[in-house]
Amino acid sequence: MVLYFSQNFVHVIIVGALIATAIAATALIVMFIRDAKNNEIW
Amino acid sequence: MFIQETILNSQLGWILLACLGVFWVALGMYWGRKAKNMEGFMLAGRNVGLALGTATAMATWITSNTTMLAPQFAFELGIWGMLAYSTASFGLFLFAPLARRIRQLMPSGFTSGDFVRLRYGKPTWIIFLLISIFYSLTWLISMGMAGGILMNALAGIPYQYGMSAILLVCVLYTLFGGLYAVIGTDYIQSLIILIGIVVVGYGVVSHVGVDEVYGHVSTEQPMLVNVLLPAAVMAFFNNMLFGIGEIFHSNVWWSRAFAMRQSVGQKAYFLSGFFWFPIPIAAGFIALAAGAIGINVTSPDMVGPLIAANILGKAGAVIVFIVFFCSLASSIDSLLAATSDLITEDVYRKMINPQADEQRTRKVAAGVVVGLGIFAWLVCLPRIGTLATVLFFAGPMVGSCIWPILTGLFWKRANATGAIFGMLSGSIIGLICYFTIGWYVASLIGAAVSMSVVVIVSLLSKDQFDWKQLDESQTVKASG
Repeated sequence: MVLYFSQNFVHVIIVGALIATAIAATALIVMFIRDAKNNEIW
Repeated sequence: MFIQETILNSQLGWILLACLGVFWVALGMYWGRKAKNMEGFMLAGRNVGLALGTATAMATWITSNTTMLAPQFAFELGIWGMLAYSTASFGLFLFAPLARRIRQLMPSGFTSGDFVRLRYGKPTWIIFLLISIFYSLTWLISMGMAGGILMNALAGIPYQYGMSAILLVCVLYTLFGGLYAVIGTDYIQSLIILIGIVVVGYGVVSHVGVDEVYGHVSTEQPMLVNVLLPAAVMAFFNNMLFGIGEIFHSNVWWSRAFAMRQSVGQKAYFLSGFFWFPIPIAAGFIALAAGAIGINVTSPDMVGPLIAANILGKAGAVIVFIVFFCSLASSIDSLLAATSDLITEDVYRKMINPQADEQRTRKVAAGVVVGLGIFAWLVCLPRIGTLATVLFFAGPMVGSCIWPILTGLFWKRANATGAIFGMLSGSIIGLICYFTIGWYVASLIGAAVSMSVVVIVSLLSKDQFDWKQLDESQTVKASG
């Protein structure tokens, strides 16, 4: 018997990955602003 | 059916290349002014904060191999291919406690070679340096090649010219700014890459739709959605161990652990793993759309840029061009800096000229950066094999370094005999499997053999290593 990934699973991981990537970009900006405020960039 | 043609004309490609080149070199010179001494040039003053620390770990790991190979993995191995590539993030997660331990045990350390020399002695150090420098060069070459392939695929810039241009830009800004320039540009590059991947991914999802892609793949190439595709399942574990081995041993990651503030390293590596994990899926899934769109792919490592550019048109092609340039530059600069540190610190300062003053060492470091660039350029000139072939050849060697590093940092009984035989046996048996079975098992077997040897030899030994020996500032004072 051959087992396949379901359409829902594929949908969730692809859309989830795009959302997670957008969150990562936002988090990096927020972290930079916080470091700048605390004079902790370098 | 589309045929493979460039989306940007070569004139626009050259303009983009020139603008990006000038921008990064100017930033490198600006940040390079902070590098007043050798510690500044090599380790950015050992005071890097969380935002830059996280971004540089992540950006360095987002290589051309992520943005070009992840689509290739998806194209050839389907869903498992994307997931397999994402497991490379486990190396970042697992390196987090190591980064803390490294900073704690070696407050004045410079390179991963320093650790192996102090922990295991000279013979192990030399074998480790051979593996580490070989891998760094392989990685550098694979990205120089990727640069040429990308410029050619997107803008029709001849392979040799595109490859030469990207290597030149990276050599220049690394030369002027050292690790300050590398980490600073990594932050900006990581933001561009993340935003670009989201824009391209969103474009593909809204243009074709995940359900349409799934429908086409499950009808025409059902093996790509097969849960039990054997080669892909092996690739899953192989890639995870390859990633762990690469990060654990490579000076690219050690130099960042030394460069970050002591309280920052662990957190930064952990966050970078989280941020990196979705990227191969977000960048890779677009390759699955090839069939649904009707693109005829003749070279699998071009599938990502071709589909993105086909779907998003000229503006999209510009975004893709910039994203790929950033993903290449963020890794090439790191490799140039870290490999130069390894050669300057471990080979020149420790083996050839221990009396060298700071000015002389800085000149040698600069010469090594230029030399590495020229070497990579010469090897890249003839386009050899696919990216995967070049990169995964080194897999078993880095896989066999995992356990000597890990046990060396945390287990007093780990010793030189286990480390040497672990690295050698893992590399040799792994390479035999690479040629007789395939690349997708080489790292896995190399790591498994090395683990068995290191653990058994350590258990049989009565050694009790004194951790204080790793703090060279203290041992030098004591012996002085």
